[in-house]
Amino acid sequence: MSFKKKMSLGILTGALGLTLIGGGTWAAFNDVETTNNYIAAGTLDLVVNPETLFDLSNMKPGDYITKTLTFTNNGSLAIDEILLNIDVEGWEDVLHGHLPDNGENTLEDFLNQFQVVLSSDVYDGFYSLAELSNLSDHKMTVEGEGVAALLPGESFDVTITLQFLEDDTRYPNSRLYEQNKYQGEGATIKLNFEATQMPGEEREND
Amino acid sequence: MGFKRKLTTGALSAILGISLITGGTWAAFNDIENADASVEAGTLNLDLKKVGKQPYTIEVSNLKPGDSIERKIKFVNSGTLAIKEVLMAIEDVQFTDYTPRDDDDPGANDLDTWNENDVLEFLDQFKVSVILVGAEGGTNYPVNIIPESAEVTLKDFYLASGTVYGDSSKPASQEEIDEARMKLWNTVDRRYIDAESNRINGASVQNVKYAGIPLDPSDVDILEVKIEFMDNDERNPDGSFVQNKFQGDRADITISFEATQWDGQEITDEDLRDDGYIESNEKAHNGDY
Repeated sequence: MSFKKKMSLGILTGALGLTLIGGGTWAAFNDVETTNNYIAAGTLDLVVNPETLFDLSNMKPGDYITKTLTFTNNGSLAIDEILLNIDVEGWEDVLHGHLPDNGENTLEDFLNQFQVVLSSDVYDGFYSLAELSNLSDHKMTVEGEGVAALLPGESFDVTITLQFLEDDTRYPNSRLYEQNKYQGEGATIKLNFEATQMPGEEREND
Repeated sequence: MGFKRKLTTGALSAILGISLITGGTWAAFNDIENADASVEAGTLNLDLKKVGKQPYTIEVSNLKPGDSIERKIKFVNSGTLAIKEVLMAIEDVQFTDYTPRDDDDPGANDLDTWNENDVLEFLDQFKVSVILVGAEGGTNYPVNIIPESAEVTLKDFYLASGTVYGDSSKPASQEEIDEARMKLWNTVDRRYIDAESNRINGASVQNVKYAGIPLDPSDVDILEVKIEFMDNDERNPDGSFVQNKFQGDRADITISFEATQWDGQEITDEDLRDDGYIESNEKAHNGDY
């Protein structure tokens, strides 16, 4: 041991002695207990796949497409309900000078040309796109509030069929079909799914 | 602030208080996910064009029996959807029976020259002797859909085709109309008659890939029609020709060309380009060949 090391050891011992002396004036009995507690928030994580269901252009009346949306509970908390809200964007009226009414129509008219069928193991819905876009907080699940629709790790599929309806109504005294007014028109439908948590409850330990 | 206002404010605060209380039981965790879907309709657009410098409309006056008119018309697809058929029909006829302008007209009493006759009699003088589909040529084409021996006239086409105004709008009985339809079905190549409307399809149908007017492969159809003012040597008792009564008569004929779409189809990944454009809608038979 070098001199320097010996020296610092001596000082340390001295300091320890001093604390022992000072400690003597404190209370001498005590008991310290600790409990280990934890609270950890869960995760509520719905995954909807795919993010782009379809992106169709150059459609004609009668065309239809079927796609599957998969809802997965990727979190640790049960999902109570899945609520659907829809926004429609990007529509513009395309005018057609050769049609009797110039081909004028509203967004509602355009959306009414499309029929949507939503179906899953437990759920069936039949809408025009216009009806669908007017729904608010539409329930995609049937279990009802307070009963879990989707437990962690589980998933379910909803099949969506969209059809451009065929309507053989012609303009009065004309061979032209009324549906001609929708030529070249389009819209993007934004489906917004909200997963809700189960109601709060009194909890026991894990 | 009036009493009423105060009361409402009070009530509002109370409601706010209540909602704050019940707010405690609301769920505070949620997760929002999005999925997008977009749709866009294509366009179906037929354009009629001249072949060379020749007009495709018929604007001919001063005709005499034995004269004939030949016209070509080009069907161009200017839309984004394949055209299945080009259905043609005489939609409307405005007829003017020639009569002397007044009694001073030198031939005012020359009745055999401008005797009365109706629109159907006049149209019946014009034989449609050739309807050549696919006159631009190619495998199986052109096809003359009216055989040489057939005696089909503008009257038959006018009466046979369904128009938007209905059969009752025509100056003929239902029997005459049915007769014209029978004649049409017995003479014209049936592949080119639309059963529902009894209209003639002027677009080619025989080569699957080129049926109608597809955009892919790109196609243009030329239709050729020949109309003859028939020469009839039948005479009246006085020796004048029966056909004399048609002198000076005029018919303004509206012919419509209706382009139709192919039937709707189920869209699968094979029909789509990467950007979601339905490519197969540019093809004949939706590309199912």
